[in-house]
Amino acid sequence: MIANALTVILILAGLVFFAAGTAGLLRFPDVYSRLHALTKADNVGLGLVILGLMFQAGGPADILKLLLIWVLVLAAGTTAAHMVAQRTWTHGEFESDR
Amino acid sequence: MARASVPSHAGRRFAGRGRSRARRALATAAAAALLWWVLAGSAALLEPLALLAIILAAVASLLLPAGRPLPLRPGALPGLLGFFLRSSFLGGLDVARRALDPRLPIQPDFLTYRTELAHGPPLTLFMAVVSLLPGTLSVRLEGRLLTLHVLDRDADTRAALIALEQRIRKAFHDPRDRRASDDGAAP
Repeated sequence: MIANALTVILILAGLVFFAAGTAGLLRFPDVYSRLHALTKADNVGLGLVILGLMFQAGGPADILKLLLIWVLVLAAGTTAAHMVAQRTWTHGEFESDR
Repeated sequence: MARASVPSHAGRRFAGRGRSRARRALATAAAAALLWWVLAGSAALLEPLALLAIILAAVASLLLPAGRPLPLRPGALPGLLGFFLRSSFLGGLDVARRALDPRLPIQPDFLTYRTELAHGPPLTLFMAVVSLLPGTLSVRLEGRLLTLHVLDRDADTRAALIALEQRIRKAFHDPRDRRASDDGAAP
């Protein structure tokens, strides 16, 4: 019962961060600022969703699997953000932003 | 690890190196088994395919040349992890607040920062974590000069970067330190 309530609260909080990240993606003025919104907000959003799901896990293996997913997405997200930022720096802004 | 390279006797040195390779193979097998357990459950661990994969992973670590050891200080890791979790959460909170605020309170700017971290894992980790700190995004690295994008040019970004750099420096053995003191001093 308490576990279910915690799951619902944490996942809802996570969804708020996903929504905020998407709002930033749409509203921020340039590529770099949008990357801020995507990487940071989605990282916290996914972290909260995963924390919520951990209360539904069937055992330590499930918890470790969720943790592994979060770590991999985190590493991929921050690396991808850096690569997009670097590419934009060397090759200029995308046309659709002008 | 350091003991394996003490040049006391040729035969013993070889045995020591063999022991450290065996230990590495064992660790690889344990990691592969853990990963299989996490991904497929405990019942799947006894299947022939799982055993084959674990054994092949161990054999591969015996056959392939050893990579450079990761100069981590395990004692400093919990502090670094706590700092990372706290500041990456604040980073998400900060950017979410800015994105949802009707006035869109951002003042984007670029900033350069000269880091003293050694190239390799410490610098990679620094650049990765910078992108998750509140308001900073690592854009480009030229030598030791890092170009960052900041969401709020009035924030005290430099102090946060210095704090992060100090924490990462504490978590790694600096190869330059080791070369200077040669041996003994490092734990």
